[in-house]
Amino acid sequence: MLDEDALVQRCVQGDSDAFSQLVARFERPLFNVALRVLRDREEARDAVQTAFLRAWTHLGSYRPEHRFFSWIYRITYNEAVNQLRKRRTEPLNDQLVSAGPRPDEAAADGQLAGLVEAAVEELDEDLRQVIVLRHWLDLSYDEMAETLGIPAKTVKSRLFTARQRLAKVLQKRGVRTT
Amino acid sequence: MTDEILDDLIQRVLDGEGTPEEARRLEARLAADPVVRARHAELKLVFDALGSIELESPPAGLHASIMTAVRSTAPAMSPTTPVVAPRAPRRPLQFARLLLPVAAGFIAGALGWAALGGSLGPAGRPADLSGAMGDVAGPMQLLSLGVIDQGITVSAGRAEKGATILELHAADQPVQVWLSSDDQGVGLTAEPGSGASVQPGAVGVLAFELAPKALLRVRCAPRQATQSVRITAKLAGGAVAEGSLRLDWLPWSRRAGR
Repeated sequence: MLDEDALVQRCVQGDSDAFSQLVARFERPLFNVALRVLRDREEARDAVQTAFLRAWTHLGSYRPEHRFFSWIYRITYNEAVNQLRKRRTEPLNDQLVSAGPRPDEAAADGQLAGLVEAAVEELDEDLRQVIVLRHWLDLSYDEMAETLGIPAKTVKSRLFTARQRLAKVLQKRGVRTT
Repeated sequence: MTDEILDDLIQRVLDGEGTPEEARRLEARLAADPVVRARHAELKLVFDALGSIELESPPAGLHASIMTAVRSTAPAMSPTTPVVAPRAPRRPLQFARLLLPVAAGFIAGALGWAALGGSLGPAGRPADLSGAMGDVAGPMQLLSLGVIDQGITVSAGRAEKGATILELHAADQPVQVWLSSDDQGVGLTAEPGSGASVQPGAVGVLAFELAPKALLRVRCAPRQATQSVRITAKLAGGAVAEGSLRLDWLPWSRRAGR
């Protein structure tokens, strides 16, 4: 399997098959990033598709000293935030509301995953981002630092603060260590 | 050990970023100190809880719809153009501060190699530069990417019709190179007829890998009087150097900045 750098290089040469491999590799984590911002699967889908298309048409501006994932993550995140802003200026379309329970609803049902998601939702944006990148996208401190454009020390500090807050929320809601 | 250091240790080990030595140190503290155990348990609770969440699968067909859009946006590329040819190395450069002597004839300095300590050498005109790339007026200007210390050298020469010829020459290790123009307005054509094959990409973008001691020649044809090409080189070890080359019709001027 080609590594990320090799695939990106082939993409820059116009190889859409290589790009297809990058899409396959990153669509799931990026979909979850968009979903966490938008809380709507259809909108998240649109955001991810737009982000990949934007990446494809702007490969000339990609800086290879950074990881491709960091670049596409930022494009996706910005796209999702833009869609969220746009949505807030438009009337709510009932058809766009996700079918599943919202995290707070799931939390009310006492499901652990729902509790955790609701707790994560309550975090400030910069804290929520590091939790998502670390726990769901499995990025290292250095990769997170590059992705977010902040020092690794700040990453660790934010992670610790976020986890402290989550721990308090979870303990308050009766979640205990096993 | 202060609380802050202890918290950092616990977090690093739980995140899998701690060294084996740090893991052993934490193990010993956990065995000996109930306060440490409590702090560890608190953080572990969060790790376990977050671990209970699984990533959602994207909607079926997302990949296909992305690729349909991608393929309709970027039509098939032009045929393969071989570009890489091994060649004897140039003589080593003497590194110093970037100093561009304004060359006689058509060549004057044009590169702003950001953060690079490269230098120039009096490169002679390569014997076989004419032909597909077009003739070059005057000597090639030799530049180097100082950050990677002789990992790659770049020469620039002026060709007919306002074009510029770039020679990119790898030293003793492979180098990945990206050339791009900011507005995709510069036609980039790699030299045909030698070595490994590289497919040219969209207009204004070219990427390739230079084998050790290989040489690549690229013709840059600006479509306006003043355009620029960004060059980024990445060594196998990860070191990266970059700079931008301004392509002017008339005497080139030095440009700083990345």
